[in-house]
Amino acid sequence: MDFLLDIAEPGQSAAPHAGPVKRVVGIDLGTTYSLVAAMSTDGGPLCIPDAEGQCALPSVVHYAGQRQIVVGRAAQQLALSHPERTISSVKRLMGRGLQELQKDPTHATPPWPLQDGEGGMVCIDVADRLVSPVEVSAEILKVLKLRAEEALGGPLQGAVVTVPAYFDDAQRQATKDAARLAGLEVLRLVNEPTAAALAYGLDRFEGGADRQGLFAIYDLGGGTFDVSILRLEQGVFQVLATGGNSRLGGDDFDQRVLTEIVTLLGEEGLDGQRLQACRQLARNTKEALTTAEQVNMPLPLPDGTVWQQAMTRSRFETLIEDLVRSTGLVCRRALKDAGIRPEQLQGVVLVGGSTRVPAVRRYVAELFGREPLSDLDPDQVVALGAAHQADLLAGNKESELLLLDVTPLSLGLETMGELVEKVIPRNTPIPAARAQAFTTFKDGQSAMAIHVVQGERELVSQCRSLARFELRGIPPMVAGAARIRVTFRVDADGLLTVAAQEETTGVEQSVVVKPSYGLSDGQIEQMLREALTHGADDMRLRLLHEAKVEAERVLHALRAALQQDGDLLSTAERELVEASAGRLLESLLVEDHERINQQVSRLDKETTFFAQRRMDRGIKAAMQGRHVGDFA
Amino acid sequence: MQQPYQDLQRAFHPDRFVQRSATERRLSLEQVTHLNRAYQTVKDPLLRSEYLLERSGQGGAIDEKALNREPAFLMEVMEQREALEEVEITDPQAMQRLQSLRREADQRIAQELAALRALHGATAVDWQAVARCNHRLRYQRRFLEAMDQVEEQLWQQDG
Amino acid sequence: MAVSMTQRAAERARQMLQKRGTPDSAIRIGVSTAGCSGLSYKLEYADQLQEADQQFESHGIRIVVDGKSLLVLDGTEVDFESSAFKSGFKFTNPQVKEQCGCGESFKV
Repeated sequence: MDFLLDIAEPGQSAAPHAGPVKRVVGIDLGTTYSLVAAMSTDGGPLCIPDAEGQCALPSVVHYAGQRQIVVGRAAQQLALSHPERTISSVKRLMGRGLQELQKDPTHATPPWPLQDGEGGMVCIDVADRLVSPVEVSAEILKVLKLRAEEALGGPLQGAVVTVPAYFDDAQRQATKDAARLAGLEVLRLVNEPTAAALAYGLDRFEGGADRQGLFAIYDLGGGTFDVSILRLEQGVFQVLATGGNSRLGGDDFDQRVLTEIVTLLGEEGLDGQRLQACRQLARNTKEALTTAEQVNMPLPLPDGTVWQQAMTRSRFETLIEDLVRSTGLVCRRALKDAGIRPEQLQGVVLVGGSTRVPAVRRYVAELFGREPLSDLDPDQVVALGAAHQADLLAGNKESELLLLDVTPLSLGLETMGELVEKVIPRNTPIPAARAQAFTTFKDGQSAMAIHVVQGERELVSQCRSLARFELRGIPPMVAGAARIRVTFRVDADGLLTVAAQEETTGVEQSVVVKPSYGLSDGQIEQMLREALTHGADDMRLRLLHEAKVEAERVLHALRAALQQDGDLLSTAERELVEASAGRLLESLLVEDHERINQQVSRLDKETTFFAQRRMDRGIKAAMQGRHVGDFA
Repeated sequence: MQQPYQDLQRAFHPDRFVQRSATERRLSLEQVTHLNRAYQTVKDPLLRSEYLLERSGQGGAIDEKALNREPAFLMEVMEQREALEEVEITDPQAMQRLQSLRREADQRIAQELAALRALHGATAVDWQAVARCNHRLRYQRRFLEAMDQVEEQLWQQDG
Repeated sequence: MAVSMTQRAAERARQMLQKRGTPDSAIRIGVSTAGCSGLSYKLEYADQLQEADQQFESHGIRIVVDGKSLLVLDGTEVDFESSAFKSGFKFTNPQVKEQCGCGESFKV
């Protein structure tokens, strides 16, 4: 790998790995295509192409014999001859269970058998092995990672990965797991429409006179639909409301055309290969109808003849009409949640390849009463925004831009009668925390079952079950005397943790649950180890390298903090901090990642009071001259 | 209120702390979680009123069940629910009827909000009356949600 | 003992010196002891010469190297690379035996 340097002022050369620019990327892990983008040397984000100049990597993974894996266009080709070994649209299976998929009427049967996997998550049976959707997604991400590392000239130091705004907790967690499995450090999960807004908003508003406005982002991709209503003000992108359907997209348009073709063919019981050929034909037909009024659909038959029929655009539009219209309901609800009327919007932005369908554009124009904006490539805009956000998170440049997002779905608990009690309603700004108090209903009750669900409906059975756990060791009391406090926390990635505690007796009985779907941290580590084909030695080197990079980063941050706020420390305290930093420096000389990691966390502990003081100073500065009354 | 909210977010949001130590990242997350909670509470008159009641320490003395049993309240609830149940989604006039119900509910909400402002503005706050007002507002909010669900059925019906 | 710059690198260095307003200054090349494999390169503007400095010239650009660094840098050629996602000076040092994964630091 070649390392490139810039000329520095005398004596100003940066310490290694603390350099001003970090190699970070934005990744759009899509249902049909995935992309990776980074900041270019010209200053703006650009998608990184493969050796043939193509940016979009088909999200298709082919499992050949002898553990060979093929990803992308080549896999797409192999799907025609080996549909049972080729997985596409795996995003629709992310974070979902087998039963749940079977109950879902919109779920089209894939050409590979599905099974129950670990943690209740679905698993795919590809010829000679079982793979989870997380593993399949990781294969796609690995290809993008490699592509980016070649273009950027070194290992990546972080990535922003985008998810549909309407993804639930399990789907988000699965995406993050896939990124970790691919060896990426996830800086943040960012919602796709918000990333798109960042890409758009910048171009339009930075430096302009009018830096304020309300926007709707209409994002219809290959398998998911999102709408977000945002307020853009002085560089802050504040999401007011979001809505969507994580099982609606261009794939469903293809499915409608496919059904039509199969009906026209008049044959029953098509085998996997024929069906795959029809599926490809359906997709080509849909794409051609974007510009053409009528398209011929030729299909070679086994007897050597060619079957041929035509489809008009108006027939296609009839086939998909109800799907397109179903997005309207979601948009109206989002507008209502945001407290906005369509005419208050400054613009509607189209994102996602499926917004190329003329019927979709017409419908959006009608729905919002204005022509939508689509000057950026709807396939690339999400990745471009993600790259920009990655650059901001890496601290590569000073900027006032900030993305503020919300929870897409309400989070709640099961209460008596299988009803849901909402704890964090949908469209709550994140990070968020909310606590709810419950009590026992039987005398001497010593345990309480806690069932965490996500969704808008009143009945538990109609919501998504996220986690079940039990708070044990409640001291014997009469019914209603115990006070059990259940706390929900949603972090900046939109991921949930739940804790429960009995408060009256002072007995600390606390359980913290991170809903887990299929993969535990240990399992991911295990898989990473197995995936590293170079054996244990390389693993050790990699861990050592990571530990050193982290140590250098921490030391760099501490030096900066001491320079800026060193006056917050007494001489004795400063000596303490310096000594701790010295120990970490010494540990760097010993080639042992565990030693280094220990010293990093020790330094972190020993400087907690300093971090706290710096934070307090920051808050005081921010609140200066303001009174509590200002906030009332 | 929007301005200080944005300023504080800009200063303390976890996105600003990605490159910092674990402790600083945790502190940032905590601060912004509080900030979001405060922002939402202050922005919404009902949440604000509930928070003020809680802070007054008078909340414990309020009997929620008794509030539920107040005859005037019960009468109102029944009338509204019945009127909503009478809206047939196949009726071509359904949307108009729903909108008139919504106007009524909006009016009630406006009245309760005005009452709340007066109650909280008094030198000696009548917390029992505040609790009654909060309770009625909470109910009206739920009624609005029920109406939303009927409305969505109507939207779905005519696309 | 010598170090050199390619034509492209010299061209770029000239541009940067001009932009900085010190077209007659030299470019200092050196090594420092840090990084994950031991040593790392330094590239700086040089307005003043130090005692142990040695001077070289490539395509009209003056290069200075301190004596200690020269031991490690002998034979090094500095090139300039530029593409859509990365641009900067690249060191090719025949003495390097091992470098870290990112290429930022090395051992001789």
